[in-house]
Amino acid sequence: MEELCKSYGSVVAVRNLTLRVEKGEVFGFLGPNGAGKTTTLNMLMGLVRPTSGRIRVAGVDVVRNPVEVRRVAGYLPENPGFYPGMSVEQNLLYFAGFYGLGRGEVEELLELVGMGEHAHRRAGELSKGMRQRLALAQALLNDPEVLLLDEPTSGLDPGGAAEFRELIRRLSREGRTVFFSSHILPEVRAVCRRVGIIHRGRLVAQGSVEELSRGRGVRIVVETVPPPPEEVLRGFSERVERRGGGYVLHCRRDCREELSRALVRRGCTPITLYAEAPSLEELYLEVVGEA
Amino acid sequence: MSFWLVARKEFADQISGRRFLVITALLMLLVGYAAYTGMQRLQLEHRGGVLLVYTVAGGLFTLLGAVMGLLAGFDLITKEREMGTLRVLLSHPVHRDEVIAGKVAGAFSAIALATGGVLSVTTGLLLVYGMPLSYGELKGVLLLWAATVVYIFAYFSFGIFGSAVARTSGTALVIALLLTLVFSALIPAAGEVAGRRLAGEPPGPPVVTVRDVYAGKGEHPPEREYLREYERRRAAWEERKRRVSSVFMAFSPAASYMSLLGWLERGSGGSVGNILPGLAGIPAVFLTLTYLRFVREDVV
Repeated sequence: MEELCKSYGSVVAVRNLTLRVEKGEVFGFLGPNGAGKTTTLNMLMGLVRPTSGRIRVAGVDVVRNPVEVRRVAGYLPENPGFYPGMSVEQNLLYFAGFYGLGRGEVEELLELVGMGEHAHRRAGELSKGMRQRLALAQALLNDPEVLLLDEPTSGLDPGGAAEFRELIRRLSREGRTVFFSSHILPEVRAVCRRVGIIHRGRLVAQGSVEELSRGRGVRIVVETVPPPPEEVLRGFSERVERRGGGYVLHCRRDCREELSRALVRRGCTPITLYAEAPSLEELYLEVVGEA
Repeated sequence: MSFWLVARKEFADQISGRRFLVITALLMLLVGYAAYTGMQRLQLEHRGGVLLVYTVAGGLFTLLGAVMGLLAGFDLITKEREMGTLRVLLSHPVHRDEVIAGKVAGAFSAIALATGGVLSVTTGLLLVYGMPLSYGELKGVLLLWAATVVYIFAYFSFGIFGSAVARTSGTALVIALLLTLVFSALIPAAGEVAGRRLAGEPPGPPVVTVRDVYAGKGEHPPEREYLREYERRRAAWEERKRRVSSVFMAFSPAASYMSLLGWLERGSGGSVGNILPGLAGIPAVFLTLTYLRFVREDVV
């Protein structure tokens, strides 16, 4: 995506979004509600026409050739819908028809997403989790090079979410590119190599979690016997919090060595001393807060 | 290939839909009854061809056909938007023009099947009563069938246009009903008003006073020249008015269809009038607008 913009009248949904996701990469797209995630994904699939900018998916220009993009990409939209009067299998067979696929491939996919035994149930009777599995199956119909997923685990039970993560890892190992938006940050952390954070239509950060946390400080957890005098700890950090029997220091850099020496000089023996990287959630909140 | 997939699904959805089945069943019943009364009229009056039976039955299509057309089209796109299936459908390699053309073709086929079925029932009744169709009458029935499909399709075009421009099915139905009101009532009414305005003052009837009668002016009124003159002027005024209002009527699918029914009843004699704008032009315009809207819309 290059300088991608989308406006609805005076409302700017996506603003100068430039982002590159490499082949075979699993990329997490984060942002609060209404940040522009779904609009971006819809533009990637050619469902929404950008106001300006360029988008290519697997080398195909989306604006010029949206149908070609849909041959190489699979899309799982947020709140996917199916024809309620048709069975799970009939729904999938209908979409499979656009690729010239038949019953065999459809049955295989239904097994893959754990819907084999529900093939003859009407789509209108499915639970949200089952609909999500069916949506994943339809996104995989064309054995896509690129998979675009909008909140893919919403509605899935913990078991389903774990299966989904495993499937994403497997697809990544097979060299497929996965671009997905999610609110569930531990899940993003578990499967994504890189993340992008979008806020009010602007990409405010992108990179690996390590890259994003660089320069954002570190938390040092310390516990000593006897407990350390607080003024020693305050010499290293202005923000000192109690946690259990020890303390957490919010430092600009990793200063464990100096801290350890200072504590020993004051007769305190460290029994716990480690650095804690900020969680993705903290990074996300920090980045969005700054933006 | 995608076009056929969409058309096949749309056709199956239409003919298995509750609304469609109810309207078709209602049409079958009413047309069956109308055909029966038409046959009685035919036997009693001993005049006119068998087509009279069809035109009596066809009269019912003017109302129920319009309802069928509107109901077949008003939620074709909005329902898919509301259910979230449009996004899923369009995320597969199918061109939007194939989707809209497939939907239209599926609905058109379903309408043709329903009306064909209704007219077949009428033909069956005629055969039961020992009234077979001649070759010319069969041609007339086929023409009536084609005109009925096209007529219902005009209302379908209002429905699908509403569905393309509205966000919800409720709004789409309101738009479709407003268009129906405009083209079925307002435009013909405007034609009537414009006809009266542009044709000038209607000639008043001659005033014959008692004195005129005594003066010999009122003798044998029907034969008098001034009465014949009044009738001539009145006919000329009516013709001027008809010419103006027919320009408006041509844009009404219902007026055009009724004009065609009258023409068939007269045994295809005389002029059928300008029925193309109402039966072909209006659907063409609204289908084009629907197509343009649908292929350009952002699917969110």
